[in-house]
Amino acid sequence: MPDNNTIIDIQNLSTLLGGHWVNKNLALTVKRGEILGIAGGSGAGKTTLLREMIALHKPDSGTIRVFEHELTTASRSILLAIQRRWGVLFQQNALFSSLTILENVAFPLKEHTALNKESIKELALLKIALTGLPIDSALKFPSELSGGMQKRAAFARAIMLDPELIFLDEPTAGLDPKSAEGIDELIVNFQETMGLTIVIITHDLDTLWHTTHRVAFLGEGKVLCVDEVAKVAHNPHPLIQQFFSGPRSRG
Amino acid sequence: MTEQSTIQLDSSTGQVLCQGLWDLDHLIHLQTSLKTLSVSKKDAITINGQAVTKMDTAGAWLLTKWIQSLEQQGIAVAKKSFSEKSQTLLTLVEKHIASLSQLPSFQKNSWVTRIGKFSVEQYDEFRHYLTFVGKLSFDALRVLKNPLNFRFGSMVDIIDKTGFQALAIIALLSFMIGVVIAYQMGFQLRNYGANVFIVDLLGLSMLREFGPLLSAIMIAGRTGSSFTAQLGLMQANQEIDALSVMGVTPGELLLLPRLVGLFIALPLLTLWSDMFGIIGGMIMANNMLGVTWVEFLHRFQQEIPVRALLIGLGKAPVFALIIASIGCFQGIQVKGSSDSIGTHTTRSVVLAIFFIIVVDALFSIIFSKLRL
Repeated sequence: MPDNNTIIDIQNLSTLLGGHWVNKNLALTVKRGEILGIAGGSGAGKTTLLREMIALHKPDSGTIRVFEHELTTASRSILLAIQRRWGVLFQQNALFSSLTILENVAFPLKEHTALNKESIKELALLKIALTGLPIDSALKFPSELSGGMQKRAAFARAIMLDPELIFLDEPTAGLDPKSAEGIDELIVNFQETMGLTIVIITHDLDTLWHTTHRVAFLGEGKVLCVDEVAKVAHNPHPLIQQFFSGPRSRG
Repeated sequence: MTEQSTIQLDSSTGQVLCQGLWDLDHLIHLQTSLKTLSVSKKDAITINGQAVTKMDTAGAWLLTKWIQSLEQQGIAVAKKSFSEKSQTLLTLVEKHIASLSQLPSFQKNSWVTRIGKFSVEQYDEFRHYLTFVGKLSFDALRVLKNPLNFRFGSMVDIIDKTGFQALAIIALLSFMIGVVIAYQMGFQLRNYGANVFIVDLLGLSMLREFGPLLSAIMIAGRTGSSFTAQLGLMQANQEIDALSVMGVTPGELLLLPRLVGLFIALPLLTLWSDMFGIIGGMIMANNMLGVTWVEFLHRFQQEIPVRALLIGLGKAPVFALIIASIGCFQGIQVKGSSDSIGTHTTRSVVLAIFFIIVVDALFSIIFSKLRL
């Protein structure tokens, strides 16, 4: 039995997509308070795994326990309770384009709490400030912000309900090195100050090296190796070697 | 709720005790208890956070705000026994809370400003529209010089989509309009025993007005909107920029085929609409007014001049240009977001129908001056 420190526990997970096993008998656990990176080449099933962990896609078999609740068979009310305890940062940010940044960030609060307007506004502004956005960007629309700032705004929305667990899908993809570095810092800071558990899907080597406590490497439909990044990088498996020792790595 | 989230003033020691869960779920409860808590002035108080079992940013925000309001009243506040985690949160929130008041408020413009702004926007849009038409004409001239450059394939595709695939719906609608007109007019004519005049009324109104208007409005809704949505999405995805960079003018590849395609399709649809409108009226005339098929067609031939048909068909290409140019123009105007595509699609249909009716009214005036 997984102990109290396990926040996500995945066992025997198999998914068939388009006649092809994206993952087969995959097992993975995420411990409370850690930053786990999920890495792997393109098409290794990273995004599918994420979609299954956040209950957007039902696996064909296997169990996914999040906060000690089985996701695959969870009732609507249990799922709702779980959804309030996690936040997700999508790869394309998924900010609502017809709302301002402030309205975007305040949206989860408006939906899930009965707080008065003033408190909602101030709490949302606080989150916006915490993510390092200039305060006057709160009244802008997502399309008026740069990619890095949009990412921060989406981050602010993901942590609005003070979740215990957040999922980041490619948080640094498409950003310039400086903005990517800023996001990396943000991840580490939030983990330290708010005691979050963070699952990062990424193939950005810098993010893997600088932020994660452990890295799970996906390949051949399963988790090839879970360990500290330095140890994973020295794993002799050819797929892992390919990933870590290309000309762009600087291990 | 197993744990109570409370804040209490211990008057004997001057300490404020915070207890339980200081998180978002209990924020409302905490807010109300904070309101009832009265701290007399000149007290220096200590806030004891030993019994706080959980604190998140929302809780830290509330406490920090409270402390700040106390300090503004001149009360010295000290914090004691908060867990290390809560302490970091409190410092973090403290650091950022000052910047929150700097949010510029939304300036609501006066109605004069709004009217002015609106007028300028409309004027700008009209100017852009003229530029667009000018550029398009220039592209058209270039293509005329090298007719082989014209994309006949796309044009045929457009005719298929906007014309052929709309045949069924136009036929059905025109037929029903024909039935309705004949029915309404038939009642009046029957009172005077002038049954046979249904042919004149139906023929003239259908050929001159209803056929062209009905098909144009239908196509504005069906095709104009699809032009805007297609081009708008391409614009949002930078596909149109990609074309220009590759040396293919979007006008030549995307706009001209649409314009010319609709220019050909709409008059044909109008003729089609005329036919079904007349057939619908004919059936009503036969059943309700006792005007037989042969009588109807015989009188139709005698009384309805070819001019009526030609005037109706002559309007159709003008309507086609209005629909296609507004549809394409609104598509090109799309900026980025999904919201923008929606706005421009609506605008495209509304403006197209608006101008179709305006132009139709102008035509009526001109024709009556020319005694046509």
